Amino acid sequence: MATWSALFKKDFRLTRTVFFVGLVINFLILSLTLFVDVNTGDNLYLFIPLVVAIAFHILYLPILLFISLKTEANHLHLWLHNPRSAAALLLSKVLNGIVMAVVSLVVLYSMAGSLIISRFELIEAYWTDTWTAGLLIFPHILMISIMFGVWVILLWSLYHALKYRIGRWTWLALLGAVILPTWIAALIDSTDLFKQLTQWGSMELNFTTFLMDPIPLYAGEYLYHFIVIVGLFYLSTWIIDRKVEV
Amino acid sequence: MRNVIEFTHVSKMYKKRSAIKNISLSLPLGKIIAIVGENGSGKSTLLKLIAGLSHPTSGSVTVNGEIANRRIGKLVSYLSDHDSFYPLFTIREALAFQASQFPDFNRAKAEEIMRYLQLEPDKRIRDLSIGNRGRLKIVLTLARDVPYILLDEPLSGLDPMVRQSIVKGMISYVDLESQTLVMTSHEITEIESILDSFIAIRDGSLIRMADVEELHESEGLGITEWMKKTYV
Repeated sequence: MATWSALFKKDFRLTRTVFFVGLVINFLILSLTLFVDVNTGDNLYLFIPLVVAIAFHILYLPILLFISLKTEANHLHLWLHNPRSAAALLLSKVLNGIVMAVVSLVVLYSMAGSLIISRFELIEAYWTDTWTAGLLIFPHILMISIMFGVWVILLWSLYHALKYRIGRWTWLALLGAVILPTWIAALIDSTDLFKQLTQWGSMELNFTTFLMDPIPLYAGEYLYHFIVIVGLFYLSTWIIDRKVEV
Repeated sequence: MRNVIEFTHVSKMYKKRSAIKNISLSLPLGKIIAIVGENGSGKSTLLKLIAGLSHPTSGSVTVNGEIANRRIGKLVSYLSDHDSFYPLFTIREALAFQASQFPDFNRAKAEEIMRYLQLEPDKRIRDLSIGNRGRLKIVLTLARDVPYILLDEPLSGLDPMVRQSIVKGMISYVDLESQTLVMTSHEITEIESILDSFIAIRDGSLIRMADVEELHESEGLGITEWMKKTYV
């Protein structure tokens, strides 16, 4: 445990500047929101800067992981010489990113909450509906961010596995590694078999104040995305343990 | 299981360039061995192959019977010719991190080598001079109680006084009962006195592996003279 916590602390230190810069940006966005609030009064425009900031968190993990891995690439022999498995080394970075993203999102949500809490007592139901929708967006933003983050890890691993083998063609291979699976996934997603396999455990979300139709969600789809994330992560660890060279 | 590093018909290509050509050799425990050769002859690649940080294109490299992949780091302590630490750490933090990641890291030995090399533990690594960075790399690498210590150009870029203290440190802190030290260096004259054997390579091919004593007896030459004769 001490081994892993030392790794976690080191990874935090590698990216803490980005984390703190992110928090400062959050506070700037709060200032902008307050400005909108003062100038427009009680309406949903208030949320535009906050929504943009929350949506931007989709890129939080990819950016953080890219910076962390890029720093490791500056002295790759040092990182690779660590006898821990690639899974342990990468998990430390991913969890670091998740913790930072969660803290950043919680800060944004707290700001948003403090702005609208007084309005919960008002008759406009859209305030509470907006808040509930916002809470549901939270785990989805994280999930999408993790998915993109794992893609960054995979592409980084591929790059370092191929750079001495195929040189300048590596970028083409990486492009292929993005386009081909995306195309295949799009084909699979559109089949009836895929729908049968994933569209189970249905839930419906109703936000009647701003959406006419309910939003359908399926537990099967969440499981599918979870399996994809684990699969891509495992593939990256396999590449790093067996193929990446300095 | 044999306590040796074993190369069996190892070749290594980087794209179309051949870095190592069909090398077979074994390195036993309890020796100080230098890998010598011209720039770009494949010396660093040999060390990286042992450390599992590079993979043979053909053939195999084993360390104590295990295929050398990156996780062979548990048996091998590797010092790169590049920086081998996170610059955000202080020296003390670098030692603590190394100790946390390598169960074989001997903290007392590290403290001793650090004192011997006159490093100040509270200094931040990014503020260290090249000489002190070189010394710190030596501390981090030699303080591990592993069978194999690999040093890639440990004396490169250091002034003669630092070089001398590092060479002395190698003799003092490597336990030849249980460890083998393999290093590459261009400063052959400075390390020759502590060497047991040498491996000479040229353009990726092994041209000679012998004991230094045997070279003295058979040809009456030191490694430097032998290299001048052979390479020029």
